[in-house]
Amino acid sequence: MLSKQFMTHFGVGMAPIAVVLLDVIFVGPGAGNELVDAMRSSGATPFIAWVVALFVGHWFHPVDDLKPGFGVIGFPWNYIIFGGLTLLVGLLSFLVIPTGSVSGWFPFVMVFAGYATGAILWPVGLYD
Amino acid sequence: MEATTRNQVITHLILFCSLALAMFLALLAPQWIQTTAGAWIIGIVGLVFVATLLVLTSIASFGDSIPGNTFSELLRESTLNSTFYPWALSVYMGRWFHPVDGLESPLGLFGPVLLMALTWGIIVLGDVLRKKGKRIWPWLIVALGFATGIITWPA
Repeated sequence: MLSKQFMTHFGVGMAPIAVVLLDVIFVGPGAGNELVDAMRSSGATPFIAWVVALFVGHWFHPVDDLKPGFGVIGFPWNYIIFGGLTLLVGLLSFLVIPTGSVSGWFPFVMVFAGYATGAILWPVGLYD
Repeated sequence: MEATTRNQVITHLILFCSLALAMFLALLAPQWIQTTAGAWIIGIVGLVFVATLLVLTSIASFGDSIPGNTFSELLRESTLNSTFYPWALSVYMGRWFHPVDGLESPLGLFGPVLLMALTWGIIVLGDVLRKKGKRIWPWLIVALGFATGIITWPA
């Protein structure tokens, strides 16, 4: 079931639709719309920024044969640390920072933090 | 028909259908989301898509015994052949997660035009370099795409 062909077909089939749906949810032209307002003003945006950037760092880190934690922080500690950081960002986003006070800089910072964390603690390697 | 050729045909067919459906959604969804019911339907469908993508990716990363065959490894491998995926994802990151609320592109209507031109340029450049046995570093494409998304197409 999970052959290379299946994974390729699955990825190219779902990704464009998922991105368009996310874009409409994030950007939706209907200001005053409950869902769009919730996405823009609540903690969802910085948390999603963190998750998206974490995956971008995971896939598109700088070095092909990079080891998790530079070879110092190995399995399972790398998963425990970035899982804990994700939980922390989620708690900060949804519970600690008051709804409505989140501005653009917080998701922007989360992009850099998420990318660095994904690249350092969870880099995917190229199979030789 | 050879299995490899058949798989390529199927891949291109799925990609074409997916892009067509995505464009159809991009045309209609902005109107749908202006109603409360439409917004929730799009929100739920979007979350289901993203959750399914993440869950199946996770299952594949543990359940597949073929080396180098996980979704993530295939995506990383694709950076040897194409600049498209890191560029596209990072442009959207710039669009969604730029630092200034209410930011508008200083380029106005030329912003999306420049974005399309740069997208074409980066894909062609990647292809030219690939044929010479070289590539653009993925992190550099991510950085350029992120900045381009912020400048040309901020939400």
